[in-house]
Amino acid sequence: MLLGALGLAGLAVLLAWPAPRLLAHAGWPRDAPVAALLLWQAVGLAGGLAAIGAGLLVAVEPLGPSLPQGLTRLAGDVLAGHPGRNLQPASWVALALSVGLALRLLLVLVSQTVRTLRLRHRHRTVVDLVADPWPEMLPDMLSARVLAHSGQVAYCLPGRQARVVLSRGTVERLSGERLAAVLAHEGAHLRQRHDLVVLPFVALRATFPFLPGVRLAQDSVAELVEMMADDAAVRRCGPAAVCGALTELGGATSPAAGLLPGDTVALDHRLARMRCGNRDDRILSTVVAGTAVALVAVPTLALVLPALLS
Amino acid sequence: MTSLGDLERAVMDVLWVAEGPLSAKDVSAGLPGREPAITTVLTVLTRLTRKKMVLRSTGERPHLYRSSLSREEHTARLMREALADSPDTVAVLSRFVGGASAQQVAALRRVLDDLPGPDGRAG
Repeated sequence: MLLGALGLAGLAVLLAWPAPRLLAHAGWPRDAPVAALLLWQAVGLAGGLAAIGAGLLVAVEPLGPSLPQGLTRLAGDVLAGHPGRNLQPASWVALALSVGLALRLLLVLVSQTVRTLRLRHRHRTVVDLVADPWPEMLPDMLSARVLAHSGQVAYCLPGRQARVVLSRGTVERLSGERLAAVLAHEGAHLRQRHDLVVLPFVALRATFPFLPGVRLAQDSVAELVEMMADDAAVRRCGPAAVCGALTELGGATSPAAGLLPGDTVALDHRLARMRCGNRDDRILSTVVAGTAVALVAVPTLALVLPALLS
Repeated sequence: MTSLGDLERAVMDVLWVAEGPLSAKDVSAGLPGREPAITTVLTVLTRLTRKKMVLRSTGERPHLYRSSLSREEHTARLMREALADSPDTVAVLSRFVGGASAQQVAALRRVLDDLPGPDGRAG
């Protein structure tokens, strides 16, 4: 079992930095953004489970031949009022670390969710009172508002009372079809609930701000989610309208109005993949999705199978 | 003026153009079209006070109401929140294109610096 713990610890370390680094700088996710997103989710989940599992394995090593049996034995000891009966000092440390890690992850996720909902609710309340309603009916029951400001923004507020918010500057700058492209893009974010995809990665980053892998994960997931919304907008409005809107709002045509370096790179990626035409590599998607499932399933099965077979 | 949302927006419009605090009666008189019942206007003003969009005077009745911030100040704050690059922003909303360009940030800063804050002073 200690060998298993070492393996899990190794996996956790791999998924904390080298793997995210490879994935974040790879080019293939642009050809299969949904599958790449699944893979990122698997990396996050498997990394967390591996770290917690490694500690648990060390802790319950004296209690049984496999993790489920060891945990059951420990639970029995706890219920009987003798939690420390079979544990060694090192086990206590490992147990404390694992349980602590699990609790902290859960706690940060909950608090980040509450905080996000509260801030979003506040922002939406003010938008509804300060911005003008969209003058015409929009498809998909989209609810849009126009902020009276000459600056250029376009964003959406997800949730049950979702809103798309554009500034007057944006509405006046973009032509009809480009405006439709922006609305289609934001509408896709809302329909596909990308906010739920992004939130766990924000929580992961808040839990481990010192791990470079989680920053790469959050940035990559944000970029993939934009690509998925771009794809939806292209399906509805065509690539020219979407590229046009991105170029105008991104200021990419004017070198003087440059974006922050990271955003310029992301913008270039998005423009490049749309100009190259339809990207829907089925084989790649299937392979990647399979890898994602395996990443979570294989270590889990390795831990659980010995108990099932005995 | 059919929905509650429309009514709230109309009341805010009245308060935003007013030169000083208004009573509920004055607010009602300032609404376009047929005046709703005073109780309705009071309900709306209470809701807006809870949302911190409106401040109500304490002490003697009739209470006087004024907006907490001007419409421009609210708008500028919303723009700033939308363009911010904090981890919170990433979770709360989703922008069409990345963060603000350097020019956009500078322009926004100029607008915000010129606006009087809640304490009446600029910046």
